[in-house]
Amino acid sequence: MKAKKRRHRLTPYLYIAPSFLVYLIFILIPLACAIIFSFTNYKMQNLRFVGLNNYLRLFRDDVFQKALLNTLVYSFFVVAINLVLGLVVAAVIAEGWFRFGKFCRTIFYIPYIISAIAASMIWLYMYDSTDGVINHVLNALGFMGKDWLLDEHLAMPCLIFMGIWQGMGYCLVVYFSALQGIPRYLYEAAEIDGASKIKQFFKISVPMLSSTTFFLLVMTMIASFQVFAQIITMTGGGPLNTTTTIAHQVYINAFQKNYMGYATSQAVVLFLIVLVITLVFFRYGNKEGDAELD
Amino acid sequence: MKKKMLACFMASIMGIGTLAGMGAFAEEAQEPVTITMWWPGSGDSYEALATQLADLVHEKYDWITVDTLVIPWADYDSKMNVAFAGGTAPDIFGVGLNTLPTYVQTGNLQKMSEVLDDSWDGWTDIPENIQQYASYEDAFYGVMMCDLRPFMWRKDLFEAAGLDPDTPPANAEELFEYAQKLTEYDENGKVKTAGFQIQTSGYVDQTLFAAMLMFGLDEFWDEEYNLTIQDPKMIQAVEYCKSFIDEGLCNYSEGIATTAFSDGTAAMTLNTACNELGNLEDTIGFDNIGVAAPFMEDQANFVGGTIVCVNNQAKNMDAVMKAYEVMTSKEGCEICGLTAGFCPPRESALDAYVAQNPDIYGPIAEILPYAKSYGDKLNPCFADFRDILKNYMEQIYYGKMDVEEGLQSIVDDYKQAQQDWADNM
Repeated sequence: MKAKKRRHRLTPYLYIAPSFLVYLIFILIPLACAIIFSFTNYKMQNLRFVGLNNYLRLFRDDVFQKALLNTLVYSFFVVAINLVLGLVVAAVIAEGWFRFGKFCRTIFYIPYIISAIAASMIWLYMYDSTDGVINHVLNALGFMGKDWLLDEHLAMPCLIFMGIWQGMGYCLVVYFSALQGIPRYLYEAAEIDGASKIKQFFKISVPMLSSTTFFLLVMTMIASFQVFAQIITMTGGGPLNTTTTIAHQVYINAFQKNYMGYATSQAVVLFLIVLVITLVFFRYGNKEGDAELD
Repeated sequence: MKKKMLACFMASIMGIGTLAGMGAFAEEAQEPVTITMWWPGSGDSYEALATQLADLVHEKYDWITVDTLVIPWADYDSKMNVAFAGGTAPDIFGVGLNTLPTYVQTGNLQKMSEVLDDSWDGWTDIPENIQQYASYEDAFYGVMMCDLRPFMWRKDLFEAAGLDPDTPPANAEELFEYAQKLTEYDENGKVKTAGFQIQTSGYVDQTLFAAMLMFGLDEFWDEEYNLTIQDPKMIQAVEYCKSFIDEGLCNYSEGIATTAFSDGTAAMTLNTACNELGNLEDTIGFDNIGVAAPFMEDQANFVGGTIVCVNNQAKNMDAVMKAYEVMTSKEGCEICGLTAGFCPPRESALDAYVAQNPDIYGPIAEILPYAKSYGDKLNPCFADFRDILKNYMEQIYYGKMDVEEGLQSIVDDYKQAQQDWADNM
């Protein structure tokens, strides 16, 4: 009887064991190692405990601080604009104002599934200051071309624009499917009450999508904090470090300077920032979830 | 009795013959061994280099097979790091000149000066400067296949600008004047073809070093690794480079690519490696290219290269060393020169290299003994130095900081980096 009870108690753990083992081996153990390495001078082979040295170094590393600021700026604009644009375009398509809504959805979604490196190469050629298509178009219209990726004021906006181009389709598709789930009778009732389309959008669609917005906010924020491929391919962090990000600095320190310990301390800081922001979102961002109907 | 003695004599001859035969058989029947070699680079020429080196080894020792892998520079050091950590590093591998100290610190490199005895012909066949730059802390780590930077110019663009296509500039002032004449602009006034290739971002050190040599300064750091860049000559050199930018004689887009001359967007260069000549022959054609020794004192300019090193954890060290000696022999160096365009470090291999096209390759062979690296000793903090230099030189070139303030900041940050490096040891 006891043995049967024990087997019953163990059964759920056995069910989750395979996925938990994968999670343990590929996520938890590497995470623990990274935290341990961040307190050492790890260089792939030599390893010595250096206490808080790596973390103290972060405070006097101007490039890291610039990278932190750049990451926050990039994430803020990419996440905010992607969410707003994604929602607006999804609502317009859902309303059927476009004849080719399905086609538009596909077109907007394609950049999301293109590899980041391939997309970066495409934009690198487009932004090229001498032969890029953007400058050719500007010249044809009578404007002067710009050094898009080589101008300290333009390089980051160029990367943000590319980030929006690449991520907006994902938000659009998720919002579009969430919009399909909102019962039509709510809009019909509002229409009978004389609410305009804009009012319906703000009073029905937006509140009903709060859980979706929360999900997208967390997912796009995590992705944008990890931006790397665009940086390494298109600008190398320049000019004047105006486009370097934390992930880029982690790569530079780990694989170009061989400061693995210091690089892992930067990675840990990135992890903590994402963790704190996510927890804050969880605490204050999704109190009600998508509005539920009785 | 005579018959007995004759029989004994014959028997001993047969015995000796049999033993000798067995010895020869034993040598022939050596256990087959496979060793691995990784080489940094990309493209068909590097694949050909690796394959031909492997074939050369197999030709000489048919029991040794070399498995080769060519890895692009961008991924090379990280792959090597991971391979060392995982115990899967190759037996023989190339190491970039300035990254040698970092590799040495991992403790995986065989000190070749300890295993190559005095009779090794490389000691006399390879110029002293090239041996010195492949050494760190008094140990020699391998034969460096050199990439030298001669002065190169576009003869067709010289002609179009009304300059004598066979006469390159003879000093810094002339270089600037020629650049003014050679720079072409598009309809918007943007630089289409730069007169002279200047790095404004990324590897700014390479053009800057050439400019330093023009003004008589030949090192970034001294014997103690202290930076020497606050010298008035350095200030002159930086201001000279900046004058090209201020005068609109270079294109900022060259800042990221290191290949403006190869891409046809620069008319003169002191910063294009001789390894690029193979591509230049295909894209621009040797008829349109002039090559000369740099006009700086002693014809000196920066030398980079790939140092062929040995893993001190290699399992079959005997076979690895045999393969190594073949790969870095006269024939091996010739292969590196004829396939991937490296200047062979061995003087005995230079004839074959020059014979490809004496007008083009002759001046390169000529400058080999005078080529210089950034200091007499390789710097263990080089990656930090390059990063710091880039950060401040960009600010100087973009007009955000004046030259002296920028150089002072480089020195200050470098001292901190040295301290961090020491703390990390």
